[in-house]
Amino acid sequence: MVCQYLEDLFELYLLGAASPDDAAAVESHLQSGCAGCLAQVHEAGLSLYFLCLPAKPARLDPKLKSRLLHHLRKK
Amino acid sequence: MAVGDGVASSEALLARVAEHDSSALGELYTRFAPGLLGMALNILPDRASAAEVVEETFVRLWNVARRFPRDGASVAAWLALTARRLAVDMRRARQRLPALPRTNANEISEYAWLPGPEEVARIEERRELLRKVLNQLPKAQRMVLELVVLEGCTEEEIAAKLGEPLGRVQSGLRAGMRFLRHRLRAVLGTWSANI
Repeated sequence: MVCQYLEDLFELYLLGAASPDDAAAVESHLQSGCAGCLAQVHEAGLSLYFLCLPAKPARLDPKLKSRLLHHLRKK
Repeated sequence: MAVGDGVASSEALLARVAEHDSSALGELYTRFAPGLLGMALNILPDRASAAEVVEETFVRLWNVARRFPRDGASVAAWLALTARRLAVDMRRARQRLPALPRTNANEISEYAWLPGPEEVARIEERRELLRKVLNQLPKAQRMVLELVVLEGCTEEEIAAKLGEPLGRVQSGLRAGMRFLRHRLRAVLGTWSANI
């Protein structure tokens, strides 16, 4: 019953969009080590990746890459 | 992103990044930065901010590369979800909204819930079909999904924004996520179902 309620919340939880009470319920349940729900969380991660994919890429100024690499080499 | 023969996988490039090989990071940048910028532009109104998000995403990748699990999480997924989070944080800060909470369940370590490289490759291969799946959702459900994913709104904020009862927003959002998760299983071959 708990699993059934929580499984609808996993994407929202991972996005930080669930209510504080729901987020606490998800965390408490996952900390109990429920294997079925941990597998569902992994599937929720897959959904989120798909939802984040952009419709089309955008062109970047090549100078930005040079600046980034220069900055990292100095670190 | 599918990687052909003779082209280093993103995970192989990341292993080089972990040894502070900046040219490997440059290859990952060339491979993923345009897509990340496209995504950040869906969330942020201006190009300079979106480019800043992309840069910060790669700085973070550089910093976490040594801890990244060698046989688990996809680099593409980590990049996409990190960039989305940074863009949403920036958008919310500008709107003077509180930062969204971080997940902190012990079992959900930083990378445990991320898809693996094979799963990401399957999504990329079937991307058009998955877009059709998304379009099967009623318009109102698609809209609330966009509000939560691209605008970083919480359920309560969406209810206030749309002037709808919280319960109705929650039902629509959760039904939309459930539909998508089930259809993804079908499209990615872990189940059979009519698309």
